[in-house]
Amino acid sequence: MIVNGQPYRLEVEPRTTLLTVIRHSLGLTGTKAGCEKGECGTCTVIMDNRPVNCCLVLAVEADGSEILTIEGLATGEELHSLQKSFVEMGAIQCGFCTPGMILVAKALLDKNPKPTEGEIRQAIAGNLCRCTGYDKIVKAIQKVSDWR
Amino acid sequence: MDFTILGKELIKVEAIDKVTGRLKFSGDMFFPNMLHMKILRSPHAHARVIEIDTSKVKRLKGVKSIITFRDVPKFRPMHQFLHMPWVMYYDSFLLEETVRHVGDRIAAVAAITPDIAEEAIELIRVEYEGLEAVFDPLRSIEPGAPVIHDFVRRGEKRIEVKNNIVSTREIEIGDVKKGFSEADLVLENVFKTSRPNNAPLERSVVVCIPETGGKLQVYSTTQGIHPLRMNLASSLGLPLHKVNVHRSYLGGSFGAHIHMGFIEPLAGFLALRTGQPIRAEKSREEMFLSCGRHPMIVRLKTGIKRDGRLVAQLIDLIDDTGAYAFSGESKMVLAAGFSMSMYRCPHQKFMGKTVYTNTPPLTAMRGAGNPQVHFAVESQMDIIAKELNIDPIALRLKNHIREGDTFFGQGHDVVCQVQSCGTEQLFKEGSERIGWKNKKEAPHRPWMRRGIGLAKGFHTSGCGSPEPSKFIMDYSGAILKMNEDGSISLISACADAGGGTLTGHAAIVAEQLGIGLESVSIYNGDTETTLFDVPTHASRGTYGSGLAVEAAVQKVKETLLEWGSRIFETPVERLQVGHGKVWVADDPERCLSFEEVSRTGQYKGWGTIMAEASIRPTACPPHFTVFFVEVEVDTQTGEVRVLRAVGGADVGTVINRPAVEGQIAGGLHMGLGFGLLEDTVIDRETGKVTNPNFSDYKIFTALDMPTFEAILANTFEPTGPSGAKGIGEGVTNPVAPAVCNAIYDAVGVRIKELPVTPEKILKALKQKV
Repeated sequence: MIVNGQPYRLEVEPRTTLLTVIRHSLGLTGTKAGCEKGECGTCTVIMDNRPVNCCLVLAVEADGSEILTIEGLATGEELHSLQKSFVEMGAIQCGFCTPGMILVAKALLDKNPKPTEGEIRQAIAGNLCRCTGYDKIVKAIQKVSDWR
Repeated sequence: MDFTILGKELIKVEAIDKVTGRLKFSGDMFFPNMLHMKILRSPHAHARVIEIDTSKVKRLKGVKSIITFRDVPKFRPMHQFLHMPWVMYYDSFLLEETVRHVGDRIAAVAAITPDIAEEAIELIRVEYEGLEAVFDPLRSIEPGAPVIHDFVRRGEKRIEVKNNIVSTREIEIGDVKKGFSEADLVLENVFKTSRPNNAPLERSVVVCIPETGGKLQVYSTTQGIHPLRMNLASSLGLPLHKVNVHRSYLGGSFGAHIHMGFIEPLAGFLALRTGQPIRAEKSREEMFLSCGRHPMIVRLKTGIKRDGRLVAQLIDLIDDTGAYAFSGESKMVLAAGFSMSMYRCPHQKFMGKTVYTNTPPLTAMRGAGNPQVHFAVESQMDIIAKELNIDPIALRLKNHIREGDTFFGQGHDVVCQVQSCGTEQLFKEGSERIGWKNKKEAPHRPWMRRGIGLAKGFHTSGCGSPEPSKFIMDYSGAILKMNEDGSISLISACADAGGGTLTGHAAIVAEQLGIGLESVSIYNGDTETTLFDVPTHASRGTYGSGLAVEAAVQKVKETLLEWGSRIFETPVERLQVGHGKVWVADDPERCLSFEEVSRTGQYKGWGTIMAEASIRPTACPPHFTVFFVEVEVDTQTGEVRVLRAVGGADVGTVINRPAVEGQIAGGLHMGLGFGLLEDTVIDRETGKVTNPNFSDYKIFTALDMPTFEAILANTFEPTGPSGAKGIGEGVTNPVAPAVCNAIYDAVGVRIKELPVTPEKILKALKQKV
C-alpha cells in the first residue's frame, strides 16, 4: 500500500487493523484511537479518496490502496489550507479530534468545493468533538471553501 | 486596560503540532521492550472471590507477569488529588478480593502485545460467592442494605462505614426556620441528575518505565503531574523522588484525570516487577467504568418574599459516589458551597450525604457538584418567577451575587468577596440577541412548539482563600528562563487539557515583557524540573497558575533592571523595562534589547536570567455566565431540538478571544448533553453499564448543535493575572436548566429529572392533559 505517497510492503496478521498498522508499524501517531469501534471518528484517514475509520478496516483490505494520514497533508512546512484555517480560526482545542476532522473535511471539499453549512455538518457528523461544540470547526471549513 | 497581545485572536502555541499530527499525547509514546497491561474485571456487582486459577495463563506464550489481589501491597492507595493526605478516603486496594461493582478489578496481566494480554485475561478462572448488591443511593442508606465497605481509612484514622454513608455535612447560615417564617411563598421540589461520562476523546493511558535503582519514569494522561507523583509514590510505597511524571497535552479531560485511577499504580507495580516498560490504556468501555459526574438527588425548599427577594433556602442532598470515593466527600461539600453562592439569601441550610452504591466509581466532571445544584436552583427560579408573575431575568437580577458579596469557591472552607461581576451586562446583551422581549414565534406546525429559556451560572476560579484551606491545596509554581537571544522558556507543571491554558500563560509573559508570543516557548517538563502545581481543575489554570507566571515575570523584570543598571552604570530607579528592551527613562537613546542584556551577562559571567515563583492565590473569584436557548418541542414524539443559543461569560480580562469563545461553545455542548441526552445507564438487576460506548451513549454531533453566539462581559478582576478569571466550568453549569426552562416555555411541562428524554416529555404532557 501507499501511505502519504510512500510505498510500504508489510506482512500483517489477518486480524490486524489498519489503525494498528498506521500507528504501531508505521509510527504515524497523528492518527488517533478514541474508541477502536468506529464510533468517534478520531482515526479517520483517507483511503482511495474516501474517508474511513481505519479502526474498522483490516490491514489486509488496504492492500494496494492509497492512504493519506494527517502527516501527509502538509507540503513540507507549508500547511494545507484546512490546517491553516483550523489554526487561524481557533478551531482546535485539545486537538484529539483534529486530524480526523481535517481529513474528513478534505474529503468533502475535494468532492464538493462549495458545501453549504448543512453539508459540512453532515460530513463531520461521524466525528465527535468533546471540546469545541463544533462551532469553530464548521467555520474553519467554511472559510477554506470561501478561499477557493 | 490596553493590551498589545491579550484579548486578541491568538494562535495556540501548540496549534501547528496539533494540525500536523506531530503532537505526542501520552498514548503516542512507545518504548523498546514495552509490555501491555490488561485487567480482569468482575462480571458481578458485589461478590467475593473464593477461588482464582491462573495456571492456564502461565502457559500462554508472551505473558510476562500475572498478578491477582493476592500479590499486591496490602495497603490502600491514595487516589484523590490536591487534598491533604489526612482528609482523603482510602477505600480500595490495587486489586480486590471483594468486588464492589461490575467491572471491579481482580487480576492484571502484562504481555508482549495487547492481544495476548487480553487472551490471557480470558484464561483466568474465577469462582465467586455472590453478595447482595445495591444500586440506588436511597436504598443504599436504608437499614439492612448490603454493606459495601465495612470500614475505610481517612488519613490514618479507621472509620466504620454506617449505612454506606461516606460522609455527612450540615451547614447553616442565618436561621432558616426564621427565614421560612418570614417568607410569603414557600416552594419545595425534588430534582434528580444523571450520571454523564466525561468522555474525553483521549482515553486514559499510562506508561511506566523502570530505571536503575527502582525509579519509574511515567507518562500519563493526568490533570496534575505533581499530585499524580505524590499518589503513585505513596501507593507503591516508593520515596517521592523515585517517581518522575512527565507532562503531555491532554486530549480533553473535564475531570476524568483529576485523580489517580487504578491503571497507574498497577502499571507501576508491574513495571517494577518485570523490569520492563508497561503500557496500559483504558478501552472506551473502561472509561465508562472509571469516571463520570455524581448523580445527585436535591430536595430544594425556597422561601421568597412577594417582591421576589429570596429569604430562605434549604437543601437536602444525596450524592452517589459509586463503589469507591475517588473524590472523597468533596463533590457533596462543593455542592454545599456552590448552593450557598447561587443567590443572595440571608438564611440558608445545607444537609448532604455522600453515599456508596455498587456502581462504577465516579469523579469530578466539569463543574464538580455545581451543575447538579444549578439544575435544581435555576429550575426553581423559573418556577418562582411563574408563581410570582415576575420576569425570570428580573427575579435573578434582584437576587444575584455581585461585587461585595461572599462567595464559597470550594465548599464552605474556601471563601472570598466578589470583586467583579458581569451578570447584568450579560443578561442585557443576551436578552437582546435572543429576542427575549418579543419571543414566541408562531409555530410552523401546530404540534411543534417553540420556547426560550435562560439560566444564570457561575463557577469558581481555583480554590484560593485569604487563609489556606484545611482540606485543599491550592498553589502553583512557574519558572521563566531567559535564553541568551532574549527569548523566554516557560517551565511549569500546569496541565493544558485543550483550553489553551499554556498559550494564555505565554501570552501573559509576552504582554508583560513586550515581546512576541513566538518568543515564549513552552517546555513540557516533568516533576523533577518543575515546581509543584496542583492540578488544572476548578477553572484555575489561567487564574491560579497564571498568577505564578505573572509573579515570575516580575522577577525577570527585576533582574533585567538590575543588569541594566550595571551596564548603564546608573541606578535602577532611572531605568524602565518593556517592549523587549531596557532603557534609561530620561535618556531613551540609551537602550538595550533583552538579547543585548542577556548576552552582556553571559560574556561577563553574571549567569542566566531566571526566575521562579510559587503563588498561593488568596481569592477564588467566580466567573459568571448566562445562557439563553431556544428549543422546538415535538409534542407528538417528545423530541427536543435546540435551535439557537446565546452564551455569555464574564471572565475578567480576555486573554485569548477564540479560546474563550470556544470554551463557551464547548460548555454549551456538554451542558446540552447533560440536559437532553447523556446518562450512563446501570441495569437495575445486574448493575452492569448498558451503554459503555458511543453507539449507545450519545453525545451531540455537529448536526445536533444549535446556531450559537458568544458574548463576553467587560470586567476586570483585581486579584487575577492581568485581570483575568477562569472560564472552563461556569459555561456548562447553567445550560441544562436553561434547556428545561425553555421546554417549559414551549409546552408548559416541568421536568425535574435529567436527562430530559422524549419519554419523560410525553409522559409529562399526558399528565398535564
